Amino acid sequence: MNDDRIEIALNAGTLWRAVITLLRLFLGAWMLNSGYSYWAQEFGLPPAFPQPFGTLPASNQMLVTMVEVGLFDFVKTVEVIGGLCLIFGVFVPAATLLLLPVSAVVFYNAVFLNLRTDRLFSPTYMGVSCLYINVIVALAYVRHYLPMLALHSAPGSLRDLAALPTIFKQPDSNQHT
Amino acid sequence: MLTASRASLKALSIGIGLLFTGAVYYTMHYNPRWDWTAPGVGKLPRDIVAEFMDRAYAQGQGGTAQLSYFAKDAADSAPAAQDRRDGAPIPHQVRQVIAQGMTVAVIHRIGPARGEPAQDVIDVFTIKDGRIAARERYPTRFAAPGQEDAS
Repeated sequence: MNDDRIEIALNAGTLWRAVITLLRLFLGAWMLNSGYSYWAQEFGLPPAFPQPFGTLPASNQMLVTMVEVGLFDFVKTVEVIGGLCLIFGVFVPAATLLLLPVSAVVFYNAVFLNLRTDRLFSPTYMGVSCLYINVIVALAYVRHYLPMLALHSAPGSLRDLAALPTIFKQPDSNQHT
Repeated sequence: MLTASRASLKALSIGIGLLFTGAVYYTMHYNPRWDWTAPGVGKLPRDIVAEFMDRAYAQGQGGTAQLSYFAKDAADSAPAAQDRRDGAPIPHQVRQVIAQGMTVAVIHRIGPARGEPAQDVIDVFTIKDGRIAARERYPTRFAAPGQEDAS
């Protein structure tokens, strides 16, 4: 069979991969819009939505302060880069991990600062759903994280960077079908 | 069992991703919760207040500025203030701006203008949805230079 062609079994494994792919793409789309909106406003372009500054005082304070001290520049850049990676399917495990702290702060802001516990299990409320989706996608790629979760490890050397080109190798062949 | 090429699956997933991106943009952009006509939509509270004060004091366009910068149901403890009327520019000197969350306190000296004497005030603005939702004015008097208590 042509190396470019793959076989897709119609089973639970394929369904799982399809669901994870859709969740990955939706998370990427959300992050890209969120990051874009912030930078669009900075450059006078139409944002998807104006930067929200929270509903309750503690949330107002955190979000306004994050913008004022420049931390949002970093956060929104991470969202754009991470979102693009998820949409284009490149560096997905790293991008998922990169976005996890962002999703966690979004969740914290929604639940602990804006007290939206009433929507804790609302799938349409991205204040909480982005963390749930992020965690599910991360779990789906957990085999990529296992090496760095090693209990025992020893430092290598900068010569290990010579292996860097391997990250551009051919698509992951793990099918789990 | 189905067969497909990796390239076409990759293109399909990117296409769906871009579709999601467009859908999220459209859904969020046209969400009625945003008031895109508010002059300060998406801006920092201190910037909204600074813009209003520039219009009202430096440009003397308080009457027109307040129509857009103050919410229709805004509470203002100084509704007859000069900064809510059009006229000659009003000299004023901002001593300090203290912003926390959606609250912005401006400590400033308003110079004599439009037949009214100078006054020192602390204006505390509350911002909501890109507009001034409340302004509480506290008249005060700054110590004259050299008369500050050094104890």
